[in-house]
Amino acid sequence: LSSDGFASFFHQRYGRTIVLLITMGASRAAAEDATQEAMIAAWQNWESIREPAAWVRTTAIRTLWKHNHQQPPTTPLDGSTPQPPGSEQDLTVFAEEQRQVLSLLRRLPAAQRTVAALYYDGLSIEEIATVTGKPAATVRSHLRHARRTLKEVILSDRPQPAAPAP
Amino acid sequence: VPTVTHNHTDAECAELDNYITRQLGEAAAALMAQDDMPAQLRAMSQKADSKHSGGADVTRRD
Repeated sequence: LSSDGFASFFHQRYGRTIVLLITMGASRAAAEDATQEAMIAAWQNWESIREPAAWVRTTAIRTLWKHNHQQPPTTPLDGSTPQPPGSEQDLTVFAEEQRQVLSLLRRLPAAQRTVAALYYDGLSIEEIATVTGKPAATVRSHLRHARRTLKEVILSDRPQPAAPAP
Repeated sequence: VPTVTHNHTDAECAELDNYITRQLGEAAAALMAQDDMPAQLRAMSQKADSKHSGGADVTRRD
């Protein structure tokens, strides 16, 4: 990986990592701080990092949780995990449609929110199970419940395509 | 009034997943379009430039 590779990676993952942490319930400021720390660490170790997206994601999450004195991501998460969502002010930078989606995700129960945030960041069920320390079946269950809540609000609010003419 | 069922078909899940993924991607792009790129990252950009002349600029806008 070259420095050029880092620049490309940075542009691909900087905003996405901040959005991931905001989706998980972090304030925008905390998400930016943790992501910046992870990116600087990635830059400093760039030549030895094999999977930079996963590395930065894990480092940013751990940094966030360390700053918040919360559990590391490898600790099993459950619905009672104390991670109050950030305020709606964190979302003012985003367009209305994006704000609604982020707000919905942040209102999910903690375990569902974590699973959904990681899933929509591109992780597979198995990868989420590894990150959270939960069995894959539990991850699937959290994702199913999260989708049900999201689907009821999002798909019912969106304009429906006209039915085809008979 | 749209009908919402609790039976999640693959097509519904795919539609939901695609919609949320697209919105989160646009949210990330909105953050990147802002003009408050951290100073530390500008410093990294300079370091990259000096290492590879004409190369990386981590503060570049697409």
